[in-house]
Amino acid sequence: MANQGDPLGVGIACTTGFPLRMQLCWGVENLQNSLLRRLNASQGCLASIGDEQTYGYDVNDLLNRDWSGTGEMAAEGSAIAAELRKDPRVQDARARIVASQDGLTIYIDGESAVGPFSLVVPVRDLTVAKLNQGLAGTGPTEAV
Amino acid sequence: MTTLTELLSPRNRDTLEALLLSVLQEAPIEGEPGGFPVTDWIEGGFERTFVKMAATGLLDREDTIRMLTASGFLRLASTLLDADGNPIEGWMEILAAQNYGRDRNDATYTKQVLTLTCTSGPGPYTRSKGELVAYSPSTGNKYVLLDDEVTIPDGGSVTAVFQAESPGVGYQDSIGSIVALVTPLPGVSVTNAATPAGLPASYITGSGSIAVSSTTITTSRRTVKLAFTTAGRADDNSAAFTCTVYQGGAATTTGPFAASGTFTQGDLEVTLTDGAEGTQSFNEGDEWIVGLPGTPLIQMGAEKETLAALALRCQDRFAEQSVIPTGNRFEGWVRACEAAQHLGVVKVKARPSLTVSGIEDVYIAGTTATATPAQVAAVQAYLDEQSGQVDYANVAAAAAVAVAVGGTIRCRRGTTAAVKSAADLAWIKYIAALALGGEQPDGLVELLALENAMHDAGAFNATGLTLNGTAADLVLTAFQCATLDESAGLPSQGMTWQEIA
Repeated sequence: MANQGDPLGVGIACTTGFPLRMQLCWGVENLQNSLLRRLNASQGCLASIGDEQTYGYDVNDLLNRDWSGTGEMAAEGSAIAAELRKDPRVQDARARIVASQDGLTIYIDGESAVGPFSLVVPVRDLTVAKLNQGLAGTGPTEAV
Repeated sequence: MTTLTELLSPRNRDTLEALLLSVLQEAPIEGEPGGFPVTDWIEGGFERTFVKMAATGLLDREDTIRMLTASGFLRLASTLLDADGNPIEGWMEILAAQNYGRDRNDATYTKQVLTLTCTSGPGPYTRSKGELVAYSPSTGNKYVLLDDEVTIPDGGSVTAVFQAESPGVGYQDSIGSIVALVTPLPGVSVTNAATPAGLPASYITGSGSIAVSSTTITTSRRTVKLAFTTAGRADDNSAAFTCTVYQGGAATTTGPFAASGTFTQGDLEVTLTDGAEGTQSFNEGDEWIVGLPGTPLIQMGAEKETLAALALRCQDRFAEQSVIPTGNRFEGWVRACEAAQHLGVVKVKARPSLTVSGIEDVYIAGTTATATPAQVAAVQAYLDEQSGQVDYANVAAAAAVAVAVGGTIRCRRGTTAAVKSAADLAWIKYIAALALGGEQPDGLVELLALENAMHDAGAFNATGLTLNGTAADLVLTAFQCATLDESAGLPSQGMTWQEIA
């Protein structure tokens, strides 16, 4: 049974697109899903339904970029961390971008009300996926 | 049950979202009331986004419900606004066309009679419709030849009708101001000059005729009507007529007078000419109408009919059911006349004659000028066709009250020209929208409207504003029409303009 008192909330488990199976998740997994959705949304995409113009930071836009050096990557990392901190459940966040032949990988560490969490986000062609859901507080999932 | 007020008041997004959320919270899931387990309502969450998407769709539908509801009622349909405050015109136009058989009037053109004069030598010139374009150097307004063909004689002059290049109220060109041709013709000059009298409207069924013989250009604007009360001829003084002068919202009838060669009324002098010997020159009921002075303005252009005016014409349908013509019915006929003939007559007010039983006095005006003699004659002819059996209408131009504006306007450096132009247009539109008798119920031309026009146009500051020299609202009587003063009617003319940094 979902923990409805969870400080990180109970939500439908999905990161991109429409969830075919309506499964609940909570705790850090729910938080991680929220953050991944943020990083997979272009800025302002929710404005048309009345949400903030500033929501979203699409990390897919970082692909195929001609990086001038680690300074630029660090700057993007800071921007990603700032985006994550817009979520009121995130007390602090840091993001580091690493480039490889396959694409980019974003390493995220953060603090929530229930403790630290981490997230590794591989960015490939048109795909953002969770590689590692984190170290603490991962909750189970159940169908609605 | 949903009320009309609720249908006309779209629920906002917050209300719709709260409604959807309350349903989610109360709906039983798997047999458990209040079983919806989601607690994460932070931005970007699947459930929140889903609820907001549904609310967005409903929000659009709410506005559609409002418009659909309003579209069934004249007053509501004519005042529909979109989210930006702009009028929604389609619903009212469909309602008027399909339920009342009324099409919306298009904007009309200003028309003026111009006099073309050629010196001896270079003429004559013959030009066809559209081949001559005259303009006013002071306003830049252009007028295109409307007559099918005009020949300017060598060493002589000719008059021709010119039409404004575009429709609308922006063509405020006073007498004597249209004095140039876009493509000059050697030796040819042009002007929109006043004449002693306008084109008379003649309803003479006998063999005789009446013509203006005076040469004085009067400053006393009025309309004169000769109406025959006894049939006969002029050479034996057997015919008799009354003379009615319409001026300043009042009608004065004198006579009857015996018809003999020449008749004068003030500075108007007319000559009555008999027809062939043995025939009856004038019949009882014959009329002859002329406007003084003869303004070159045939009609003042009007903007596309407002939705409120269209609604009024739809309501006129009900007055038409009356067997005995009423004031409202005459007003409706005038509006129908405008719809049919596009005369530029957009203001009308009628009342039973104070002096003659069975007569309805009908006062008309254009947008920013009172009616011209040509407009009066055309409307009179239209009403004569409609009524006549039971009641009768006397058409007259509403008494014009020229409004001069004054004050000091300050603009940011470099913006004065644009502000002047916008202020002129805003003020013209205000005057054009004023009904006969001013803003009701007090009959005002409002000083506040002038101030608003200045600020809406982008003026930085407006001080010492006046209407006809007084810092107060101007009050019109019931049948007066506000017009633009010849020399200080527009803000760009009558005000002091200063630039600040």
